[in-house]
Amino acid sequence: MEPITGKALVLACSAIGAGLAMIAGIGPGIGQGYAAGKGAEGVGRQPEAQGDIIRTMLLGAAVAETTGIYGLIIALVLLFANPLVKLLQ
Amino acid sequence: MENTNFIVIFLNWLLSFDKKALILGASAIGAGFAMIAGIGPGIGQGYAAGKGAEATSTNPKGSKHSTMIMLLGAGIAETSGILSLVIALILLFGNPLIKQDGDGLIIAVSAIAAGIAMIAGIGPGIGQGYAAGKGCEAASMNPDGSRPSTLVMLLGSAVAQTSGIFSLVIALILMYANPLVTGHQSTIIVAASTLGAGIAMIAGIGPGIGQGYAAGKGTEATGKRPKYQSNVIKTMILGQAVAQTTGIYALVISLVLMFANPLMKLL
Repeated sequence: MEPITGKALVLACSAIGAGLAMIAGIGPGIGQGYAAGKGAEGVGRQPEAQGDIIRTMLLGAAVAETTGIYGLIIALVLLFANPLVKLLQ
Repeated sequence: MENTNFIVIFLNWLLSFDKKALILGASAIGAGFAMIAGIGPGIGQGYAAGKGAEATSTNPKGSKHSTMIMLLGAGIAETSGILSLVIALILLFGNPLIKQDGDGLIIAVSAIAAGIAMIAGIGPGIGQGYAAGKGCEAASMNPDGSRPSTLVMLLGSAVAQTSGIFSLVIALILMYANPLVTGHQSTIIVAASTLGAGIAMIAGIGPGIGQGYAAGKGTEATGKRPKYQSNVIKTMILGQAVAQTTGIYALVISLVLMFANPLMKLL
């Protein structure tokens, strides 16, 4: 194995960080699934209100998506616009 | 440090790097850890969204009002996610650690520990989301009398935020003013103590979820019987205070590890 430089260490740790950040995806998955279930239940009970129910469900699910997006942004920053490597110089 | 076990070999390998590289690498890992907090708001707001859909189906006429309460509660449940995002962005774009004097290894561990401390945000996110769902439900069952129940939701959610705030404080201390980075005799003890100070704060998940559940049930009860709001609040706060204890324990241990570490004296 070739010797590891400081830059290589920062980049390797960035890969680990990007992976860790994505763990956040657990939350929106569980939460939005619950919302989908309640939406289906609501439509079953009140078929004529389907449009309203779906709208409310999607609005709430969009809010629940935000933290997943945050995790994704941090991971993408670490991978494609890494600010840490620039600090090394 | 005469004996060579894998920890010593690992630490020596880490110390072979430039101090800056070590700290920046650790900052990347810390930023990733902090983002794990996003699990909480995701679950909590999803629950609120489900309750919103349910409220729309049970009371289509009052759906505007109940949806507004849902969004209000979901906004509060977002707090922990935002706090973690801020910590991650500081570590990536305004890193205060590379300018610090002291042991590079300890400063690097501080970055990781700060990220780990923020994981506590899972708790308030789930708990406040549950309260938001219950607030939305109460608003749809009794649209005219939703003011008292919404008040209980806000009050209970504020209490549920405390453990997330504790973690934020510890993370900020670790990043800006970790007392362990200078003037010590044992690198391994100080590094492990710093890491422990961050890990201890994960306990905050519990109080956050529990107090949020209490807030939700208090909101539900107030929605059913607004007359008894003050009794409900009293009971809710009392129970929440008990639920806070383990979060306080974690905070105390974390502060002891950093500011009054008894382990050095035992060397």
